[in-house]
Amino acid sequence: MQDKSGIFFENICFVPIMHGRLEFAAAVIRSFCRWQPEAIAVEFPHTLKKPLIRGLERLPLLSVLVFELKDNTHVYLPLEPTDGLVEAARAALEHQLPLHLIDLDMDHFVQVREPLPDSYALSRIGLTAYCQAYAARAKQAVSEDLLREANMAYHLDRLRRQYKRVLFVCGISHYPRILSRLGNRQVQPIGRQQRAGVLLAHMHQQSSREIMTEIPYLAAAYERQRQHLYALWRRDPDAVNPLDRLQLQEKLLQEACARHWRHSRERVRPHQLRVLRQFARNYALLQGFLAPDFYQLTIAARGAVDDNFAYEVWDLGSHYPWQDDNPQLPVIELKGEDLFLNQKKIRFHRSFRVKRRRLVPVGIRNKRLREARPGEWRRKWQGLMICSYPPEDLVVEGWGHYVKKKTAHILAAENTRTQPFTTSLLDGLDLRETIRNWHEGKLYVKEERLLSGKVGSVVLIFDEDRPSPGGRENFPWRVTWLGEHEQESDMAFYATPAGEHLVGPGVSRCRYGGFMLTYPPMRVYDIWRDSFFDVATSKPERLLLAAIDYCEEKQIAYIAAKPPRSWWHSVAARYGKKIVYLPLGMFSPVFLKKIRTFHVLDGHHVRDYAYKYIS
Amino acid sequence: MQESVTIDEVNLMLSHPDELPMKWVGQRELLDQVLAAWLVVSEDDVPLNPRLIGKPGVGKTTLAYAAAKRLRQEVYLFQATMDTRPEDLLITPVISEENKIKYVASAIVTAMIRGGVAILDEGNRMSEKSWASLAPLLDSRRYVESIVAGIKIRAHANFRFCATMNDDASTFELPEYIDSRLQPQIFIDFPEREEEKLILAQNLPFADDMILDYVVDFLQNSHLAQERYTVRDGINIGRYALKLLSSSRKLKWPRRVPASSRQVHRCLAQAVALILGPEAQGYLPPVAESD
Repeated sequence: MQDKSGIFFENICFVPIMHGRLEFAAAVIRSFCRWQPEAIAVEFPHTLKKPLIRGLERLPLLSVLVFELKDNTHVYLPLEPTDGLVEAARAALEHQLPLHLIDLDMDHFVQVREPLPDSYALSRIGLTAYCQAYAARAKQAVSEDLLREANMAYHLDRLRRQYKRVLFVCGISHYPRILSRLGNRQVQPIGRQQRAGVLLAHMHQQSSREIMTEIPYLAAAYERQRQHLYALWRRDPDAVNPLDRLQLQEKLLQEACARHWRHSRERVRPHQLRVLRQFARNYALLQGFLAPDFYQLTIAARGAVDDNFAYEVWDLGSHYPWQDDNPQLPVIELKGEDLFLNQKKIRFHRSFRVKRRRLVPVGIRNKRLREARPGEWRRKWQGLMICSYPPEDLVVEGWGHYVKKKTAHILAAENTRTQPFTTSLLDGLDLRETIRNWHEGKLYVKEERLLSGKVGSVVLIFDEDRPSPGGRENFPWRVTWLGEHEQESDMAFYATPAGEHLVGPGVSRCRYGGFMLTYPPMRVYDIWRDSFFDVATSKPERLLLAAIDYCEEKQIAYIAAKPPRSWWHSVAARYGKKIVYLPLGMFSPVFLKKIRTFHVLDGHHVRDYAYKYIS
Repeated sequence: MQESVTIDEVNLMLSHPDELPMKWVGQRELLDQVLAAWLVVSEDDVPLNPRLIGKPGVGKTTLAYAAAKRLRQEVYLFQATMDTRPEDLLITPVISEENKIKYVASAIVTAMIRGGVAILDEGNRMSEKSWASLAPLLDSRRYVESIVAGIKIRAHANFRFCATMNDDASTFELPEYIDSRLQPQIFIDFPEREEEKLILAQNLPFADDMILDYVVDFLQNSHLAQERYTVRDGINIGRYALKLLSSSRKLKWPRRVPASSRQVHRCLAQAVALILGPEAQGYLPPVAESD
């Protein structure tokens, strides 16, 4: 967007900003490159100069300036790279230009919250048009602001005589009034000239996730691109800003998709992304934004995909990569409420919820342990005496029963015949068919033919997992589990390896590629080692052959995206059995997703506390 | 008098819109989420069909109704059940007194024709066969085909659709091709303490703060323990406790003797036990010694 006009008073170039927003910080760089000032003035009080400069030199590490007012309230001033004031002060330091902090230090702090148009508008209309539109509707100032503006106008009046070109960066709400003062004679208001006890602290990593004005992911992208922006706009100040908010958000979503696949072995499908974008766009528009904010984006991710994906978006988006370093400064942990931020909560329900009633000490949350060091749980995993998590066994078992019923129901429906009434009512009047053919004046009756046999085995294939040319498999872990009691089926499955993704001490989260259930229990020898099943060419076929071999009833339900080869129907027929194929799409993806994730415990003793990590 | 329209020479009797005393309190974000799903930004844009998911009693139907009312459009509620058949969702043939067939449009089809909002309540209870009849309505085609009446009905541009579903095991009946059309999912979680109190106060205008706080504390404790008690249970507990209280209170005309806090707590504990069972009493907040 070209933005040649700018906002000037004689030799002062004004850059009004909305604090902490990427587009305004970039506008500061563009104005700097175009105007090439001799000095820079910013809306910081000069009483903070020393700690402020130390904080600026620490960037990209985030710092917080902390000082106490007369009424014992603390003021916290986070220094973020995407704040226009910070960018202007950094530019002065990096280009060895005089930096003037011209705000007035006051002992009374007033926080004015003014709704402003979305900063994304800058990408389309430019800074000048944005600021002029704002100035036309500017609100009345509070008295403290008037004093501060008088002080800034006084110093600007001084600076314009001292230098040929001055760049002045201030909050957008001040600039119309400062501009109008500059034509008149200026008087310096009385104010504090020094302030003791200003502390520079390192912002805790958790706080960087919570209190940064800009989405941390976008702030990190800006930090990486800063020098490139200077180089680009020195060559051509009118070049398009490569840091587009919507494009960065799209990149964030793509990275979250990749992580979702790594952690959950689930692909985000194109139609889900389409819904996500449309929902996020509408949500933003409805709340007066042009581009979705972080909360809207996370909610849209959950709405279009699921909690796990939304968590990945949040985790990636709220990660500011430089805060892990050794700070060598006191560390401060701030919450949103410390800064009077208007926060919104989102709860992620990332895995299967246990619906069993259990005794819980009221009012006390179960404290989850955290890893002392990343990878600690994985190192301690032994995998010698693994067992399942019983509530999940119940769900899978219940689903197996449901599939058996559904299969019987489908077969029964296939065997129902409707015909015009002749001599027998058979199994009753088919009212629907009778009304549909009302003009014929005939009655229609239905005949339900009896079915022989039940479903004895169930095979569910989520992913065929054919090995890639390099022999790599996504679900390499092959296991046969025997039922622990009379009500449980034997089970064989292939899945992601146990001990790879730990969600708690001795609690490993895995995902099925496919499984087979057969009842009654305690009969199945390890199908993955049994050479009898070597005739199968893939893991799904091996499961199917085992299901046929161990089935004690007439039918086998086979649920997959693709039906089995016709040869398997012949095999089943030789055994005197029938394979009933049910497309995977018949079943709810919501529920399939729930049963697809399961947990493996590193010993029976883990069952005592596993629920803390699986809820 | 029932309104009727003629489509492809078939006369259809229309349903009546619903007017219900439902009010959505707090959780403004959720209301915005539903409205965002329905928003279109151009003539070519197609609204989304949100699915409201939450535990029984968290206010899914109320939220859908409130959002529809915000659009200032007619609202049509359709209660789905296990017995709902495809023709129930679209057009039902009825034999009239003259021994002729009369076609009656369902609430959903009426909303389609009149440009209203259709709320399919408890959609997860329906069979896959019934859902299949709505598939073309829920994508960019936006029409339904009635086999019974032999006509195709296109949705009015202002027509909006949403389904509410409980997040219990019965939601797992949705086939994949419907799941992908019922997007986005809007999750209604338990409200925060202040919001829960607001909802209770709205529904129990005659209850004092002591009762409201006690019920809210009970509900918040149960939410912490991941119990499925909802604000609907809280309203019932409050109502029943008030009835117990007024029946046990001595009336001195014209002035009632106010109940002691001990009496109030006893009645509330009794109401909890009778409505939710004795196991729910484990979540009752402790009563101060002074009481």
